Amino acid sequence: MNETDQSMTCKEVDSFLMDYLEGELGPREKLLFEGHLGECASCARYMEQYQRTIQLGRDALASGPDHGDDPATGHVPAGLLDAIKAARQAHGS
Amino acid sequence: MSGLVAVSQTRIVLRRTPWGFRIMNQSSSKAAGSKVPGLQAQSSKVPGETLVKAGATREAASGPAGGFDESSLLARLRAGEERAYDEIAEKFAGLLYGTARRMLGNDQDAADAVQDAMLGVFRNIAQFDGRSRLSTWMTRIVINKCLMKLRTRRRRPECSIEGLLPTFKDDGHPTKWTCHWRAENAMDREQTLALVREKIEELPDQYREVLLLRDFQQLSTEDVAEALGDTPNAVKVRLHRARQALKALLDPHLQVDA
Repeated sequence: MNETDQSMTCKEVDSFLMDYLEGELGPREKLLFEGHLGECASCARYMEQYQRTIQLGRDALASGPDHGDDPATGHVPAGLLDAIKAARQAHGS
Repeated sequence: MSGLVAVSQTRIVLRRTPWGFRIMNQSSSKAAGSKVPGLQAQSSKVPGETLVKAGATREAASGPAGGFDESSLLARLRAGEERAYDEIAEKFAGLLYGTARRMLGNDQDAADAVQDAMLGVFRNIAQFDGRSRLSTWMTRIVINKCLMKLRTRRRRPECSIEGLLPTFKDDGHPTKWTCHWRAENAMDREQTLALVREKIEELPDQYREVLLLRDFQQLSTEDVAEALGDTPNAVKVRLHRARQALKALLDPHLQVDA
């Protein structure tokens, strides 16, 4: 894309994607970006899946088997509590 | 608050065995940088060590302390009551381990980080002023321990994820059009989330850590850059690639007809 270009390529859309989602594109780039998405179903789909990936990542990490809102529900490997206790006694905490 | 905390010569090491973890002693004369974060936003000036700023961690990640009397436990800890040390470890080790496991991607390093973090908690409990939940303060400590480990790992060569990134022809068109993903189905949501966790773990450390810190812990780009000793632009590039790689890993499972 240069000063006289009136469109973006798919490659440029890819490189501007994160800035677009974070609201960091200038007005001209934003217009061109959205113009491309309006015409390119593949890029529009890519952005939708990219956003879904972010959300899935957040949801997945917040809901794992060793992660809960209650600290007591977290998985503790066998021996870890004993190791903590032994380390504390060795270090005289 | 003091900077470096001298670590004594004996380190208790937890080693994974087929039967679980086993405690071993390991001699070391090395003084480790072990600055534990207080509640003030600050940056460590100790080489190889960075602090997560106060308030920067995802509050929900630390979970509520509900169901037990935090102030009473704190008072007992400050009074040096032996049983209180065990209680705080029993109460929070699981939470800290889950956080460390996600950041570090392996059981052994996560257990080491939790052990280091708990020692930091014991040493510095007097500095905890109650302006945040105890679990939040402890989560920050374990994150800092994880960041120290990650920084050490970063001396290793970076794994390539080029094969997972989109490629383009000279005219700017993609070499492969974006596939169609099937719509989200509440029925298989848990299965999907388990798959996503599995794929996040497949990402090389350098990409997984930035994804966790930015997308999950929701630190700012600047905070992540400071924590990892990178420039904000490098963090942005790495995060974008991490997300793209994760999407590519999910594609075969989520595309229509998968």
